[in-house]
Amino acid sequence: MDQTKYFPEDLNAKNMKSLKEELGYPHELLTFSSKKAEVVMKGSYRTRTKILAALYLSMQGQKVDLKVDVKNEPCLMALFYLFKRSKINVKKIAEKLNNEIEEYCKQFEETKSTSAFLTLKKFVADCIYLHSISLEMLGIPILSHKCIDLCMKYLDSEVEITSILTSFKLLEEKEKSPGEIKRVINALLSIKESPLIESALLISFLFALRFPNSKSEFLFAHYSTLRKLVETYIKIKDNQQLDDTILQRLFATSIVLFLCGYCKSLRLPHEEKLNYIEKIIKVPVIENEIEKSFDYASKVKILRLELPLWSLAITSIALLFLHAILEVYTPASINIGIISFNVPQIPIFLSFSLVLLTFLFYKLLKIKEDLLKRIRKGE
Amino acid sequence: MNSYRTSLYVAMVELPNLPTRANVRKGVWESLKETKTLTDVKFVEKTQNIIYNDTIIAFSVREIPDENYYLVSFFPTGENRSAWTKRENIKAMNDVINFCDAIGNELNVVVEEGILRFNRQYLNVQQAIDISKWDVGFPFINPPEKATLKVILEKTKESNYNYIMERVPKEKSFQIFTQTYLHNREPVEILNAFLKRFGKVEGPRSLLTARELGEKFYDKENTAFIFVEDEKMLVAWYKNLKIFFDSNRIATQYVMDETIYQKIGFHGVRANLILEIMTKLGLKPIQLRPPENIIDSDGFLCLSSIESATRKLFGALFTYAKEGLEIEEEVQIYPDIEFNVHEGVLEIPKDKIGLLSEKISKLIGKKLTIDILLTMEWNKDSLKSLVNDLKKNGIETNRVYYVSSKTSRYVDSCLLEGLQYGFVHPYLMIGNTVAFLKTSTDVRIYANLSSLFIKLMWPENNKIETKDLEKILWLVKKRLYRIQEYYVLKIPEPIHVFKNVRTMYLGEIKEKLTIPLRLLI
Repeated sequence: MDQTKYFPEDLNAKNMKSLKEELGYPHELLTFSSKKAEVVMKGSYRTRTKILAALYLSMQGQKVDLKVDVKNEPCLMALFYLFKRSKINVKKIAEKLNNEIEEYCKQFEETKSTSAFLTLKKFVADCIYLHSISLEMLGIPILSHKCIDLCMKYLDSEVEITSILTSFKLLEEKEKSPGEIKRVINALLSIKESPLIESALLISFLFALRFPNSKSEFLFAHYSTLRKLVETYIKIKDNQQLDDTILQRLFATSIVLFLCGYCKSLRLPHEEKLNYIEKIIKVPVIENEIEKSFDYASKVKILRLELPLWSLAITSIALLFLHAILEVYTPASINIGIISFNVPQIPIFLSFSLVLLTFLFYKLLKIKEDLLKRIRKGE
Repeated sequence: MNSYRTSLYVAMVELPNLPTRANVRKGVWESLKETKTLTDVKFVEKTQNIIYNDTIIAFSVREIPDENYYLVSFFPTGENRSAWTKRENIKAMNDVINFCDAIGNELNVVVEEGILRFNRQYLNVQQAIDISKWDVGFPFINPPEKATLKVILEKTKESNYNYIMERVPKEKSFQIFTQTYLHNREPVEILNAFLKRFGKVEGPRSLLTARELGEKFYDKENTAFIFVEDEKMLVAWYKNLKIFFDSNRIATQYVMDETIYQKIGFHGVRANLILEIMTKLGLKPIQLRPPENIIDSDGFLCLSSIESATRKLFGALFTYAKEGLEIEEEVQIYPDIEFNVHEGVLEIPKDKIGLLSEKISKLIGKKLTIDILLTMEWNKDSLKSLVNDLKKNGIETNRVYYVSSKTSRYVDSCLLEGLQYGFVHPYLMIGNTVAFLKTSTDVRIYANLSSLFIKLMWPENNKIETKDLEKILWLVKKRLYRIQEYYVLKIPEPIHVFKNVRTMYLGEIKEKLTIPLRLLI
């Protein structure tokens, strides 16, 4: 394992700040991904691309009509059943995938050929991604313990794969020593290949939830992985001819981001969630969302009339002018039947103006709270 | 409804015995001579050729015994035909079509056993494969892009190949070797100026140092060895040393001085050159995606005999049809697979079939479903044994095709009447197992005037389908890296690879030879 990438040197305030600032991009990425997924569902794309797009859209609550022939490809079948949220079929296909891995290991054992090794490696990498998302979506593991051990035995030269497989095992443990934590973080930070990097993004996040004492370290690994992924997608925003390979990666990343809770609200404990929203996700986060929220918060409803805040300011100024030109006071004495009393003379225009100004200040002070309320609700 | 004339005639044999090929040929010749509508025609008895409007026309006869069919096809021939210009090819095609018009739609042939009634075949636009919407990807640019084949070729044409050139990966290196142009470096300099756009260019070095450098070279994966010489030197060099560089996994490109002087200025030639070099380097700048709806196997295994005057070798290659597996596709040549060829049919002894299937399972792995492509018709028993032995080794055979570019060659009028430079490929199905597929959509060279003959050899009693032809067409058009020749591509890539293998000197092979497929394109 590469020990040279130990994080504390990087984890200084400056780096953390820049990481935090980049966290706005996932929202952009998810929005972009949704648009692309809709295009994919209508266009001519590979089956894998379509299933990933459909799965992502379905996670967002969209109704998706998907007609594909998954033939006898177990990985595609697993993705398809995840899209269908069919627990029984996912369990069945998990068994099939484990058997396939066993057969690929046997084949490699017999032939010792490069092609057998590469086939096994590719298949296991796909299963790792399926395992990560299936566990989070339906709580069903794809890889059995026996299969994980088998993969680690035959793919021991593949550092990225063994790192993730080790992480799966560690996630099930209750406690971990600081040394182990360092090793896991370094391992997760070194992963670059897809679909392992997408799995690493999810795993680092899960570690952060699982081990609160090492939360910041694991979140650092999570943000760093996120940065690597986001860098890929910044370049593709305006491209209309994206290839299936990059779209598949985009959707695979978006699915993970959704599972991490980036889409609407974070799947963190309440206190953590507020902390995240208030301190971590800052501007460029959701420019559009903030704009929308600001528009909402900067309006006042009077009876059924919705007025912008600035109209209050103008009205208030107009009243002040009126007061300066034409001072109108309330009458000095009031007689109603037998009741008569004296009241102090109050300047009417000035009073209204002051009331409006006070309301205006109150609204301005409340804007921040309104904004946060809307963001938290995910409106 | 458009239908196009062909020079192919088919007869269903309804006689008690299938007549011999020689008898049918004799009968056709006699029948032609007696056809009254054939005026201004000269019959050459010695060669059994016909001269019509100064075009020499040959005819071939072939039986499909399983289905009781006989085929008669007419095709232009003549001296130096590989050098015919486009105009000469078009004239020859036209003459053959007009000659068949003069014969008419029926040709009755008298043989000893009775009469064979041949009917002229027409290509129908309804029976055609449209590939305009097949996907083409540029996987090595950032971000990877894709578009439909039609769009790619239109943009290529509009931009004078710039669209393609902009998408060629860069930062590779090129080592130039020459002997003739070590001092007068003009062609080398021209080539150098072009290659510089795509990476580091070094040389020229002496041709004599190439082998030594190849043995020790540190960066084989990222470097192409480019040889610039005159034709004579290059042919000799290629024949003897290509195999050395290929088995050392070094990408090589042989460029004739004449090509540099006369053709390198053409955008299409430049595009072909750089796309081919990059593909040999394993980068595949442009990739025709296998259409998912037709691919029902993991890939195609091509088996071919490689015969020379002194050696009888056997070759196997596997090309993946499914995407995502970035596994090096390899060609293997075996010296220990004995075989016999009798009347164009290949036979392999049973024990050698076992050995071959073992070798295949080592080449491609197990747990695969494959389609097999044969370059020669196989004896039925040999084929059956192979399929069974492969199954024992964990390889399921889906379909077996025999593909030939020379069997029953005929011409048709579809390119002369509107389908030129198109994406629509008509086909003809004869009986249940045989089909002809029009793979070229441009008239350029003589070899590409005819359609491809495809016979479904396995499973027995199965019918050849459009899907089978689409698979073969994908194998043909996946040679899109020859973009300038895209419309005239005719032969499936695996068969083309074995054609290239036959041009190499394989005399010294003592044991199995493995070469990456990309180096033999």
